[in-house]
Amino acid sequence: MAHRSVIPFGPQHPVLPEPLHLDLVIEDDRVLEAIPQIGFVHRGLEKLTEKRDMHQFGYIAERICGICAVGHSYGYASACERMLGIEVPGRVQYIRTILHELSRIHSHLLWLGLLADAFGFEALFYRSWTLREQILKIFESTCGGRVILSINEIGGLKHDIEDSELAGIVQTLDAMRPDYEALVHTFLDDVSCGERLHGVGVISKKDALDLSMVGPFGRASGVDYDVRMFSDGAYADLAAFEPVVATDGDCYARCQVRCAEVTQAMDIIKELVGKIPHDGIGGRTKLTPADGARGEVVIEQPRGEAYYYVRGNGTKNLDRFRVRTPTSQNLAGLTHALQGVLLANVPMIILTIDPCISCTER
Amino acid sequence: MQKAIYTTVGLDELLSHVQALKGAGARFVQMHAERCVDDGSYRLVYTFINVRAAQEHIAQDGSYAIENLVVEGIDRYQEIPSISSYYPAVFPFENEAHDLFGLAITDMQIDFKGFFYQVSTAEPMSVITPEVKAAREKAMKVRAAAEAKARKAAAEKAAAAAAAAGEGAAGAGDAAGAAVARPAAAAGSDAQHDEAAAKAALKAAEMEAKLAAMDPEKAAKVRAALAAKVVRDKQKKEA
Repeated sequence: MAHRSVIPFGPQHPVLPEPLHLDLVIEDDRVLEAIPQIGFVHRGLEKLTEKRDMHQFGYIAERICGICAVGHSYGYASACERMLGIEVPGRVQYIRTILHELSRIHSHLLWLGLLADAFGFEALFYRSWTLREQILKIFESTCGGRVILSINEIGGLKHDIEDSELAGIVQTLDAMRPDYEALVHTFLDDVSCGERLHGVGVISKKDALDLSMVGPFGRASGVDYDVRMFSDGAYADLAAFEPVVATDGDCYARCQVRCAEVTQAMDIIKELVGKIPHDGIGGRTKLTPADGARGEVVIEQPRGEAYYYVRGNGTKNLDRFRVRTPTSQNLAGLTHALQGVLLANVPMIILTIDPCISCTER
Repeated sequence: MQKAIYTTVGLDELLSHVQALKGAGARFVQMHAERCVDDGSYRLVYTFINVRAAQEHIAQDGSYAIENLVVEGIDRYQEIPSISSYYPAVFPFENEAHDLFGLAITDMQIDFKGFFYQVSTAEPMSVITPEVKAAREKAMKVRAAAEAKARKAAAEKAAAAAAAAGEGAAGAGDAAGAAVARPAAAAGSDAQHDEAAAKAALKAAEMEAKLAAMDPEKAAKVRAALAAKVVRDKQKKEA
């Protein structure tokens, strides 16, 4: 007779860079049920709007996560601008989008490295992070920081990025392409990689839709939803945009989607740099939100759709700030993906969802 | 271009609205709670996006909508039905609303029973701090003073227009003009007095609001210094 037991997985585990706990109910070595628990490092950032005014809070919003930092400051600034009824210049939208897409490349390369590390392919891990380093160098040379850029403010940008620097970014990305293609070839075509990824942690399209899954996790199951297809801001000027979708719904499909999204992001950056307008970079607004004024925005973070909401109360502080990050939306999908899998595959499945607990524990 | 639609619904209608959205193929985006500083009640906001409808609207006029259901005026112990039977992805947010706001959400599919977050203060987001209250009162006072100032300016403008019209008619007789002159001067003096009083009230409201936002110890020192200044000014006047 099969023996049923509960294994506590995390919050400290070699595969988890951040604290996430799972109670895995197993029968022999097969997982029957997984119950996630977070809250070990909850920082109460949404409550902090009481202490910091809406401009100061931009710096805190950027620190919600160390990987999607640019996206968080972009989303927060956009939501505040919507609340205040400000329309930022086109150049601001373009530069924000270019930095956001660079951040997607660095996030996906980081994830690819972690994936290679998880299945013990150390050379692939080094190669992925070496390429990622070039993106961090772009950030450092254009904004002065490798992770926290502090370029966005409510109403515009703190400083411009010169056209020559933007051309340099395109040159760097073009130079990266051959190495990146070789890397993708290994991830997608190497037998040892494929064996660890094919058919593992499958989620059907119907389940992905029912569980409201977002980002590459959802798109790997055939959900053709990417916020960028709504053509907000600079995305409206792209010649074409189609979400990258795969249909198998397994760990391999999640890897496939992220690999293709890096190339897609490179193309978007190249196109936007070619079209960037010269209409100024705006600047910090002096407006105060009206009592009850609301602003909300959804953006496509590297891990999926993120939602930002701000509500004013007539003072310089916000009445409410809300950020719903992709990982918190994907927790239901995570528990579903773990049902019925072998215990040995649990770390791989958790990793392919790319959980960001810092984002979730805002 | 993104638009937001907010529909206020009653707590008893919430599930039927959510069911209708689910039936129409809307995606669940998020749910969050808010505490209303003025009356202490709670507000819930449920957000959805209908991707297909959004794409059709974008093709037509380039805009799409984020749909929000808002439930207002919720009491702390009022039972709120969970929408997790329609959208299972809501479970982290419902547990969060319970743990951080103390809201009683019933029939959650995954219920952590208050242990989703490890918090050192119970229901931290339901606490309205004195600083928040003071800032809110300050904003209201400043707004009221600005409105009073605007009203007064409008009244003065109307009075000046009336006086200009009256001057033309006053040419009819000096005696009548002399009779009118005294009350008009008195009215002018009253207007100046009102203006000074409004300015003083505005200044006092701003100072009071600044003090409320300060560290209490520092605020006490500033208050004492201000009181001493008033006494000094009074003594100077008397001398």
